Amino acid sequence: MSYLFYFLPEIFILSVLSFVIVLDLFLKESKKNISYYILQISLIIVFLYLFSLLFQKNISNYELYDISNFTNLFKIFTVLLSIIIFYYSYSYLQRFKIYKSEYFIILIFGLLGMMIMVSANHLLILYLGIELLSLSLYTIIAYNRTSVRSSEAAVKYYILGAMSSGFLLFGISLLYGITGSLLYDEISSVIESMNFNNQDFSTHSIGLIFSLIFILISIAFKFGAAPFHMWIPDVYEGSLTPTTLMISTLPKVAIFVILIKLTSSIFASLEIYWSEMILILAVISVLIGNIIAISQTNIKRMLAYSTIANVGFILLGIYTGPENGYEAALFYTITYTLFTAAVFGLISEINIGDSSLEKIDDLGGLNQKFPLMAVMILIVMLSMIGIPPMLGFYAKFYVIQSLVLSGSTVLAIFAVIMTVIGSFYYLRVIKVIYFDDENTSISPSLYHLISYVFVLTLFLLGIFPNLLSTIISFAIGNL
Amino acid sequence: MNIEIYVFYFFSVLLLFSAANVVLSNNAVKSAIHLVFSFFFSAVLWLILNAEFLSVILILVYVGAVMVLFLFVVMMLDVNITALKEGFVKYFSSGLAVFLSMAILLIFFFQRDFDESDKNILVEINVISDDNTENLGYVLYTEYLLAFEIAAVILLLGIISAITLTHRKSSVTKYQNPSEQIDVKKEERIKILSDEDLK
Repeated sequence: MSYLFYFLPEIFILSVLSFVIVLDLFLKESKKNISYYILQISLIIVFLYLFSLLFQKNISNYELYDISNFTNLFKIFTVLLSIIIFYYSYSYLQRFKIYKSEYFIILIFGLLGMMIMVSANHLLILYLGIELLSLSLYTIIAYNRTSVRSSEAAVKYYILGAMSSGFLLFGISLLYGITGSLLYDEISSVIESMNFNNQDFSTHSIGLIFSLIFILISIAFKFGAAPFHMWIPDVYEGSLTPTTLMISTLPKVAIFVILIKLTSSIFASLEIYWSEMILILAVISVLIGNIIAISQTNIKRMLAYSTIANVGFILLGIYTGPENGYEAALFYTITYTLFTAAVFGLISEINIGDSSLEKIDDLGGLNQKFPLMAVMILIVMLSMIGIPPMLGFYAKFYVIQSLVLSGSTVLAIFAVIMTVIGSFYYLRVIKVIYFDDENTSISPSLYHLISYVFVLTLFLLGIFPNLLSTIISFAIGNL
Repeated sequence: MNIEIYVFYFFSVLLLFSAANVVLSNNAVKSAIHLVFSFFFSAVLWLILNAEFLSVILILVYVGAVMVLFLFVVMMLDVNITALKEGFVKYFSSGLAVFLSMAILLIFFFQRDFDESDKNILVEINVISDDNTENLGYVLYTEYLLAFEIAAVILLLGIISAITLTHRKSSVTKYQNPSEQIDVKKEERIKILSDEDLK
């Protein structure tokens, strides 16, 4: 019974969810938003509970489920960002009169999936968590049923996602066959006892490399690293803007956490193999993401390719290894997630006539009418380029620094050049906002205090980057 | 002991044959029937491995439920099989490359002699009895209870997703509103056109 304590946040969320599912049936059409408020309040309660856990010594002797401070910090971040995402989604859905309580119910299921997969210390539970997340994402992408694009994106993501889940399962079953266990700790101690070297071609080593490749491909697919990135632009473009806001932020952090958990436990003794694979993924991602993004005219598609480039940067951080690379990569992931959340949040608040913002050119002359909105987009874009006082600069700086420290100077130069190329498409957005002719049909809903607070916080975090990096080294230290 | 080997090879050959027919058959119904056969033969293979619960479940769930639904769908949709096969020549070379590289790696992996240290490749789960079903039931509700519960949550999400995506008031649906029908005025039923309207 005492084990139930470890799942308290998950059990609480699931209970509230079950309650809301039933309650929603009895609510009148005009009062359906009560479900949203209940879910939002439950998230705040979970956030406070998780925050209080941070100051206690939690030594879990339950091997299946990890509640260390590292995962706890991740959960705090996820829940906090979920609250913001929910806020933006709610305002968007109300504005376009497509509100359904199911949207938030399904999002909460995805949140639950992420909490489970990050806490999992067991490959089966990891798989089930990933499936829970993926299933909720498929549905949420197809939510906008009237749009053909949305259905197409959902089907595409569903088929590719099912295939990558199959890859993951295949890799897991091979690993189970070779080591006879599904627990991270047991697997890593079995692999460690096998004593690998580069010239080893025994049955075990080939089987392990095989399973490593399959698991890595599956993770790269979910992460959106090139050459497994094909679904990203279509999904970003096809789904509603708040859905894109969700897809581009939280699952990325979750998958990143899985990646560093797996590489630092199960595959720790196979580093010679996975570091090369991750390097290839990283270089292709940075290259493809930055270069294709230049020619995009749709802002969501452009940000999709910029996501791929950012994923490449994160992978470069992981490539440099556990000592200083993981910290840099985590810093980059958190920064990327926060700023992507900000930019998609701002985009979701801008109407062009009766529809939401799609084209970059539609932002024309935003500054003349709504200077405050323009300044916020300016801050976010400058940070994504990596201009010094912003947080994005430190993120890129740490990754490049860890590359230099690990001796791969060529890669560091490559990263810098790619950053310069990448700055083109971010600067174009700024140019359209400040120097182009005014687009008269543009009408942002400016009364959202949360955007101001959010962007201001991000700006202040950039001025005091030590705040974030202290938390991150604390998190990595508790991995 | 020897008879197991013969049974294995016999059903493996049949399995490969029916699986190939699923892909190669020109008739969608025939493909579906061959899929039923291949499920059946792989159930036999599981039976040889003493996994009787899985083999029974495979026949009950896949043959009994999934394939029947599949056949219904095949009957209701007029699938144009020639259109489906159009890209065959175009994609054949890349498909062959993937197939060969996978096959070579797998052969490389399985061709080796498994020595004593490879024993854990087959993990026995004789927890409480020799009965596979009993063992599965035991570990499912003890060791894997958490996974079991999460699977239940996934099913719940599946139900909600299906309802969200299909059950919505569609503008295409035509339905009658009795109160509007009764309230109708004669001007709305008949419009008398003058000569000018006709021009």
